[in-house]
Amino acid sequence: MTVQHAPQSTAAARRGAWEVIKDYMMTTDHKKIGLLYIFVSIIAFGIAGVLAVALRLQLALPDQTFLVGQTYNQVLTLHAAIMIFFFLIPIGLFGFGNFFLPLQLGVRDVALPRVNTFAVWLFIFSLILVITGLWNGGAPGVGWTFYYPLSVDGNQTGTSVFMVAVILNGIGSLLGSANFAATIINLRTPGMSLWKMPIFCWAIFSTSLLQLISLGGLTAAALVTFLELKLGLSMFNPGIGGTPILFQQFFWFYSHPAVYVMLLPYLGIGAEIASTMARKPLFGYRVMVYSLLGIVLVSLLVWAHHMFAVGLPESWQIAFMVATLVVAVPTGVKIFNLIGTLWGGRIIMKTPTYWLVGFIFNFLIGGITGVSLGMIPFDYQVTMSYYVVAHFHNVMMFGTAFLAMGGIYYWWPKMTGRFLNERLGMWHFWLFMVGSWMTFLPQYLLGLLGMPRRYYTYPEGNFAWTELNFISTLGALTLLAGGIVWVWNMYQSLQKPITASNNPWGGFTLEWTAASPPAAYNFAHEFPTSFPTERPLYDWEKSGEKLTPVDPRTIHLPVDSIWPFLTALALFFMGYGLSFGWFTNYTPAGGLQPFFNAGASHVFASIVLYLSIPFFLWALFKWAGTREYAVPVEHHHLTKYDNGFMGMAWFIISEVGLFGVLIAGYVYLRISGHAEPPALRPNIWLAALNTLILVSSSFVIHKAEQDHHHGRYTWFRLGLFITLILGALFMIFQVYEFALFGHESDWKQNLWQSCFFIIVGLHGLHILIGGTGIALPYYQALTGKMDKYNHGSLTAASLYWHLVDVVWLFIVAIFYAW
Amino acid sequence: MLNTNHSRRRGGPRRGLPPQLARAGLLGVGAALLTGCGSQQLLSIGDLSSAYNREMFWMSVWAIAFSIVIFIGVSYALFYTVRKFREDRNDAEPEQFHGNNRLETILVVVPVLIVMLLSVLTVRTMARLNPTPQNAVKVDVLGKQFWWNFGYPAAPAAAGGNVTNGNELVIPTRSPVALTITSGDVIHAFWAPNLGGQRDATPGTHKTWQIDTDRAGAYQGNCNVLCGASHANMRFKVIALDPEQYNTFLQAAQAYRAPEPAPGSAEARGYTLFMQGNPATGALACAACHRVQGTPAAGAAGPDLSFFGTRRTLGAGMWEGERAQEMLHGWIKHSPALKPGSLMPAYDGQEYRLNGKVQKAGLLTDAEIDDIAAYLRSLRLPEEANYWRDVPVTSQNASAQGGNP
Repeated sequence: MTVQHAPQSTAAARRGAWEVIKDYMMTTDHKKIGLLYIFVSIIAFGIAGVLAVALRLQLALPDQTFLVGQTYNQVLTLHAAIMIFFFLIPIGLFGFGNFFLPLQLGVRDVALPRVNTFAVWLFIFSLILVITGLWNGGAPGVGWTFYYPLSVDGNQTGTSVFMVAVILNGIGSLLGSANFAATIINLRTPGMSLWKMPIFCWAIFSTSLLQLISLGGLTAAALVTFLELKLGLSMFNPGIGGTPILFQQFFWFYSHPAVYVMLLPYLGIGAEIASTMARKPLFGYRVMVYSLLGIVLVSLLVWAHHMFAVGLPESWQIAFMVATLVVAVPTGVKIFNLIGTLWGGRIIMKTPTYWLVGFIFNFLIGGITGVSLGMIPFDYQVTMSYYVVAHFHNVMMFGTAFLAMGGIYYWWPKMTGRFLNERLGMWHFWLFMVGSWMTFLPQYLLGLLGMPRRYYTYPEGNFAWTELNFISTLGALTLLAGGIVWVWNMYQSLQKPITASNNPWGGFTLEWTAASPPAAYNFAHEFPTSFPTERPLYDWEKSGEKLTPVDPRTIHLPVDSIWPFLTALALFFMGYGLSFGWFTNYTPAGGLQPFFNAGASHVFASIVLYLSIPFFLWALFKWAGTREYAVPVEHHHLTKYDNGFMGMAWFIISEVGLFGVLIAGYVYLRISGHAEPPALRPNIWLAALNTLILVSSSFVIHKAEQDHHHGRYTWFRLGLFITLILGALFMIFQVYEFALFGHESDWKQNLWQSCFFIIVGLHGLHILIGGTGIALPYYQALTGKMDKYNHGSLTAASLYWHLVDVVWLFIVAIFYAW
Repeated sequence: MLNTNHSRRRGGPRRGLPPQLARAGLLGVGAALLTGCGSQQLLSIGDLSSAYNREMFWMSVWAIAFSIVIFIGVSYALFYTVRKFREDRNDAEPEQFHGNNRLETILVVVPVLIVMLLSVLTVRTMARLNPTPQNAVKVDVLGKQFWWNFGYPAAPAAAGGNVTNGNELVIPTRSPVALTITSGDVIHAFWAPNLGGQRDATPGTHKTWQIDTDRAGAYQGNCNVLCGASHANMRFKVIALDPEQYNTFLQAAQAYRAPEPAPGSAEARGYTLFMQGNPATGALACAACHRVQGTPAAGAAGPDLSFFGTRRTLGAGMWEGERAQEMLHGWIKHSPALKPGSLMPAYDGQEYRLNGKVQKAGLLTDAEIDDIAAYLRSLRLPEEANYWRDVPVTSQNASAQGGNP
């Protein structure tokens, strides 16, 4: 094995840095994309970790002056935002998910490899975008929760870039989630039913589902905040009847489920480790799957528990309290079943096992304190205090992040072909374990002793505050030491030759049949088609079934392409322009000013914004004009739907979520009497005409799809063209209506009008996106890229257009007819 | 540069608390502890002098009991399993079983029962704690960046308006106090753990919430929702007085008019500056932002200063006692330098940056500032209404007051 792989690694080492970077820019290989996610997440973990140590140094003793006031708030916000959005969510779901989901399913790539490249770069660029804020006024200092109205307070910096980065990262994240869901439904190896998938695949599936359903809440919160900063449009401004609490409803509708996005992939990893290391099947595989799905369901119904101290109606509080306590049940099942899996095994006590056992023990504490926070009268006391800080770090930092570490130690040989040093690994583990306890257990006490979170300083003379804070800071330094050991461990391992066998731990799932590290085509063999349980390798060994070798030269993979990267780069420039520039020169404090009164950086960013639009379209059309495979290949998928349609079908859930959240907010404001329409409001007749236009366009594109299916290509092209014309007509009428309505009254003074522009305007943006989407297959048809077997992006574009149409019907009902 | 180092003065040996860890273990019985920790103030949700905390405690006892059982049970199961079945102690070939349905059912049903019991307990406790009693003393709470105003809607002042105090809330003992909480800008939260739970101060809404205590004393409160640069410096004191004393305070406060300074005194010069500022040097009038009961000063952008001379704290609880006295001059001169994000203008004539924007300060001489300080110190309630008089002070500056760090 060693001899066989050695030439490969030296060849890789000889490549220049630029070659490697270019490779990662253009790759469609899920493994490289997964490594990119993991690599960037680890860097983000390092940055955010150092920021955390800085915070702890400021709080080590009373009345320190290291990080004061707004500076502290900025460090605090970056620490949390980076840890959550750029470490804990991506490394599990997208890092390990990308690398191992196709391997465990026994396939060669995800459903939409180029969308995957686009998503990873969007993720990286949104991290870079946040960092560009540092030389454009400053980092956000509003907390990662960016509560309204602090987020639009004139004294704040960096909020717009934070909003834009959250939305861009969200788009990447949704594309990735839809891609996973489509992969799981469409691309498992023959014979593997859903109920025989490894538990990690189920974890990724349920997490993706949760992302798709709930992320709309965060996008809605960020979008409305952004629009208030840039246009004065608001749904939350109490000055015009909005409710600031509505922001929190939007925000937590995602951000509580996000906690489970940061848990479920890791529970999957934990279960894989337990089964492999104990050399046993999972204890209650089906029950564990049901628990995952149960957590998805219940976690969508608990968000208001972050808002008990707001003073919502008691009936609301009680309903959410019950759901909050109930979610402990499936979570408890996961823990019991992990222990059950270890029971009776012959447990290999290597570093992954230590991380697993550490996780179970720590998560037990975090779970119990979580239940205590569900008990409302107790929550009234300690919410927003250090008790809560201790609780969620207990769940995340020395809970799920332990399994992120476990995943790295467990899969490192598969990912790199090398082993991590066990001795260093134990140092890493114990430093993290002891460091976490020292850092966070005192914080529980601090909360009970009345210390609020997000305080940059505290006075001397509060009982035990000084001592407990000092211990906590020592703990943070211990964690820093552990982190250094970890990085050293990874570094020294990568310096060594590749020695790992295919299956060093004796695992039972398909990824262990690939080489370590896997070749680009993943498997040079095909699998038997019988899957009696979720542990095929064990079953096949018993039944004597063998892998069938395949000549790698017959395997076709998607070709590398620079266009997804460039499209993401264009969105980065667009994000930069939207964050630091704008089409006008508006600030919440100063109102609308002449454009060139703005600073040079604002003008520069606005120019970038204008330039980014043609750049984006150019890159996108080039992407659409480039075929995925160099040679015609037969795509086989398990359902009758092609991968593009399947990916879009899952993605659309997120659009429904986004509009659902915003419309629910509007309906609430309307019913509660806060949003009253002004006397002059947009005419129903124009909307009726637009409805006619849009509905007919849906029929036209459906007909076009049929024509394509039956090989009537001229009619097909005509159909797409007519759809585009109808979409353009719709836009013209809507722009006319917007201009008129915006002229008639001031949206900054009327909540209904503000809601109208936000939601109807967002729909207008979707018409533009959908229209661009239809232009892509039209372009592909014109350039001869489409035939009976190549649908290009037709099915996806048409499905999206139908969605935009259905949303419009709702909008007509609630804004024009009501 | 910001200088928020407001207690470097107290160098020397830290007041030791060697057995603090042992004590920390006994948090549940805060009341007993309070007497035992000398110069330190104990903030604790376990302060059982408050009916709220007592009610919460009896609810929590069950949860704590279950927690201990579950914690010990599960961690024992975990470590026993690992110990028994680790490779170096167990070389038997593992049995390949796929689960145990009866055990699974038990492990679902038992947590569901526990959760149901805890839900019932929670609802029962809420039913007792959440409704506002009819006889509660009413207080209006206003939070703004970064200070508090506490008004008494049932206590109109003879000089007009309601009795209002900035950053120090006086309440009676043995009576529920209904706070009607709102905010003038961003979201804040009122939290004094010894007296009960917290409630957010949200702009555009008024939420009513109760606190109470049986024991007279001064209690620490803090803003509990991130509200900007000086979130950590938005503190307040709650002074609980026995009912007779509380009534004395309230009656005197209702009758109170700011004392008229003797002509020609420092206070009189301070009064003029307070009311008019110094337009020649761009120094804004204090009265534009602050209210002083019984004078024309009726500003609402800053905390109420009617009883400033009686108050122990300065800068929304940043300094107390003697330290507050020392800091007053510097505070008036340049408050944003001492408290990040403070919106009070500076009076040293310099340009300064406030939240990224350049501001030009008006100019008052040191003597003029001292005059204003003298006027402020003269704003005292009559001695019988001095709510700090008999209060056992258990705070950071209790010892400092005696000059004995």
